[in-house]
Amino acid sequence: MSDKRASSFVETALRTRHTRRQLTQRAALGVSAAAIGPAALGSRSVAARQDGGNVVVWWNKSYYPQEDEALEQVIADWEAESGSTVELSYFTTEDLPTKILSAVEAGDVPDVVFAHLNDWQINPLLAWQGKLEDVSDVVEPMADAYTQAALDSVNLFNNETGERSYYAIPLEAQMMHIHYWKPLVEEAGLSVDDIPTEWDDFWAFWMQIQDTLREQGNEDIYAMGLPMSAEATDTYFLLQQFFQAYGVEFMNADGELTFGEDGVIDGIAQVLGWTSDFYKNGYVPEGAISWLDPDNNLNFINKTTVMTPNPSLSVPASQVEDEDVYMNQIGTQAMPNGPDGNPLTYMVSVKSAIIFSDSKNKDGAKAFMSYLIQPEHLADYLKASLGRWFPVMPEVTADPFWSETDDPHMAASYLQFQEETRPFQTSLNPAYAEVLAQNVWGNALGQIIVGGASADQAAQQAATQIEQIFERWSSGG
Amino acid sequence: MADDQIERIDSARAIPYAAQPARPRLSNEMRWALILTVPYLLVFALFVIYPIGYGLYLGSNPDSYTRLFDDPIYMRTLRNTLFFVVIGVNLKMILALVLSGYFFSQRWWIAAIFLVFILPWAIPSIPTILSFRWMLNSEWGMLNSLLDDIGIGGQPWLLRPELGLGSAIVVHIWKWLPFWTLILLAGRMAIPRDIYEAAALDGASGIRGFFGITFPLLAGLYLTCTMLSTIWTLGDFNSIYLLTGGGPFDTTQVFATLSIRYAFKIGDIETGVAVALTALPLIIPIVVFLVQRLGKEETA
Repeated sequence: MSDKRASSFVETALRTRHTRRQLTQRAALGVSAAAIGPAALGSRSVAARQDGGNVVVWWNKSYYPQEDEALEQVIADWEAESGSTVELSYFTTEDLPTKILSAVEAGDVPDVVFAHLNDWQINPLLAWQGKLEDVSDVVEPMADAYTQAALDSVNLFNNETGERSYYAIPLEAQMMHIHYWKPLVEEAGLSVDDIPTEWDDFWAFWMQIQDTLREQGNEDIYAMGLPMSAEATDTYFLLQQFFQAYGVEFMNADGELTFGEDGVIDGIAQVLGWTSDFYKNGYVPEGAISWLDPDNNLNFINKTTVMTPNPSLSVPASQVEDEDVYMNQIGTQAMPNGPDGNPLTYMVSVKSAIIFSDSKNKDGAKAFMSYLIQPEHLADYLKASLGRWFPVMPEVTADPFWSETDDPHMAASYLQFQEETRPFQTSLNPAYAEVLAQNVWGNALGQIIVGGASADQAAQQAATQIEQIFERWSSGG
Repeated sequence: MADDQIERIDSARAIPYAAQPARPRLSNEMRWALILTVPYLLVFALFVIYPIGYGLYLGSNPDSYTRLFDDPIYMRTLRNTLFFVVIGVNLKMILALVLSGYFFSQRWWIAAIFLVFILPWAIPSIPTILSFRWMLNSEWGMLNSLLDDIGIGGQPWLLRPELGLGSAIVVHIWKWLPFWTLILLAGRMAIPRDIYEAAALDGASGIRGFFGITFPLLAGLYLTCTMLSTIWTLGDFNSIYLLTGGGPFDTTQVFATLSIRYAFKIGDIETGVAVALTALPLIIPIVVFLVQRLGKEETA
C-alpha cells in the first residue's frame, strides 16, 4: 500500500463514525483473518486498499426484495468505510449475459458483474479469451474460508497467458433438491415417511402416487416435474446430476473427453433412455419439453406435479408468505442414494462475480469484492435470499441461521450441502461451457422424445457434437 | 524542348491572373445548403454507415460460415424461415386485402369493430405474445380447455415443430394484420368513387368490381406492401422467441432467433452476425426491387 493510500485509509477510518454493528463486524473480520492464517495476514490484502473513486456494478436482480436491500446495505457500509461510491444497476438473469457480451464487444465494461449464469456461460469463455481480471489477490487471502468446489469452479484457464488462475469470486451456491406436496402424497394413501431412500424405489414411489391419484379421478396430475427442454438450464443441471449418480465420467481431470473409454457412451445412453422413459410413459407433463427455467416451479405450485427436482430453494421460498403451505404442505429433501447404494456426490453450481481486465476501476472493484466476501458481510447478504442460495464458506454455513434452523427446507438443504460436492466441468475445459450453452444434453433428450431416436443413437450423436465443439475450441475457439 | 514549345509556355505564363477564366465559386445559398447537410451526414455516418460497416466486419470471418453451415440447426432454420416468411406474409396480405374491403364499409358498427381489430397492433408484443404462450399451453392452456369442453381433443400446440411454427405464424398474422389492413384500406379510400359509380352503371359491381377496378388499382400498393412485409417478417424476433423460444429442441428457430442464440447464448457474436448476413441474398433483391419500384412511381 502506498503512503498516500495508507494515510487516506487512516483519515477515512478516523472520519467514519463506527456503529456498534460495524465494530462487531470488524471484530469478526479480525477473528476470521486470524483463522485464515498468517499467510493471508501477511499478504497484500486487497480489502485494505482504499482507492476511492466510483465502482460500476452490474448485479443479477434478486428474486426477493430483501436480497437486493441486503446488497444495498453492504454497499452503503462499504461506501461509508472506504469513501468510494458504487453505481449499482440490476438486470434480470436472462438479460445479463447479453449485456455482458455486448459490453465486452463494445469495449465499455463495468467494474464488477454478478450474474447467475456466469459460472456456466460467461466465466469460462471470457477467462479463456483473456478478458477477465485475475482476482487471485481477492480470492487467495480467503482461500481457506471457501469450499474446495467453490475454488475449483473459479480456477479457470486463460488462453492468452496459457495458465490457470482465479478469474471469478465465489459468492453462493445451488444444488438439486427434491420438493413434493405432502397432501398429495397422503391423498394417495402414503406417508412422507414412506419416501424411499434407494434410487429405483424412490422414482417408483412417485410413479405409484400418480397411478393412484389418476385412479381416484385426478386426471391432470403428474408424478414428476422433470425439466426436459433445450431451453431450460434446469434440464442439464438435472441430467448432470443423473450422470453423476450413474457414475458416468465423460471428462477427465485434465478437461479431456473420455467418450472412447469403455462404458462412457453406454452410460450416457442409459441415463438419457432412463430419463426420457419417464416422459414417454406419461409421468412427466407433456409440456416439459418446452419448459423454461421457471416452468417446473409453476407446474409444481399449480399442483400439476406431485414432486419436482429444482436447483436452489426457490420453490418453497415462493410460498414463504403462506406459513401453512411453507411449513406444512411442501416438503424438501435430498436426492436418494445413487443406483450403487451410496450417497450422491452433488453437482454444485457456484455463482460468482467477475472483474474485467478492461474495467476502469479494477482496484476499487477488488476492494469492494474483498469487503463483500468477508464472512460476516456475505452472511448478511445470503440470509436475505431466504435460503434460496447456500453459502460457499463453511464458516458462514455454521451460522445458526443455516445450521440450527427451524425452517424445514433450509434444514434439508443444509444436510445436503454436508455431502460431497463437485462443480460443473466448465471449469475444467471452457469448451464445455458451449456444450451447456447449446444444451446438447437437452437436445439429446429431444432426439429421443421428439425425433424418435434410440437412446444409443442420441448418446452417440451428443458425443459427436461435443467432440466437434471441443475440436473447434482446441483449434482456437 | 523545341523553341516553339518554350515560346508557348512563356506566353501562357504571361497571361495576367485576372485575365484567366474565373473558377466557379459556391453561392451563398449553396454554401449554407452544404453546412446544413453536414449534421445529417454525420448522423447518417454514425447510425447507418458505422453499424452496417461494423456488422460486415464482424461477419467477415469465413470460419463463422463454416461453423454455421456445419450446424444441422442452420439448414432447419433456413427452411423454417422460408416457411414462416412465405406463408406468413402471403396469408397476412391476402387477409388484409379482404378485410380492407370489409372495413371500407361506412356503417358505424363496422368502424367500431375496426377500433377493436386494430388493438393487437397497438399494444406491446411482450405481454400479448406471452398470453398466447399460456393460452396454447397443452396442459392448462385456455385453448385446449375449450377444445376439450366441446369434445375436440386438445393439441400439443407448442410441443411439435410443425404446430409450434404454425402457431408462431398465427401470432405473427394476428399482430401485424391490422397494420397492413389499415394501409390497404387507405389505398382503397384513395380510389376515386366515380370510377366505381361508372363501373356500376356498366354492371361491374361486387366481385367484378373488385377484379376490374379495385385490384388493378391496388396492385402496385399491394406489391410494395408485400415486399416491405417480407423484409420486416424476416426480422421478426418476438413472434418466435416469446412463443416457442425456438423450441422444442431448436426446431422452430428462424434467422432472427438463431442469430441471437449464437451471439448471446453461446457467446459467439461473429457467428450470430453471420446468421443475419446469410439472409442478405433474400433481402437485397427485394430492396433493389422496392427501390426501383418506388423510383418508377416517383417519375410516373
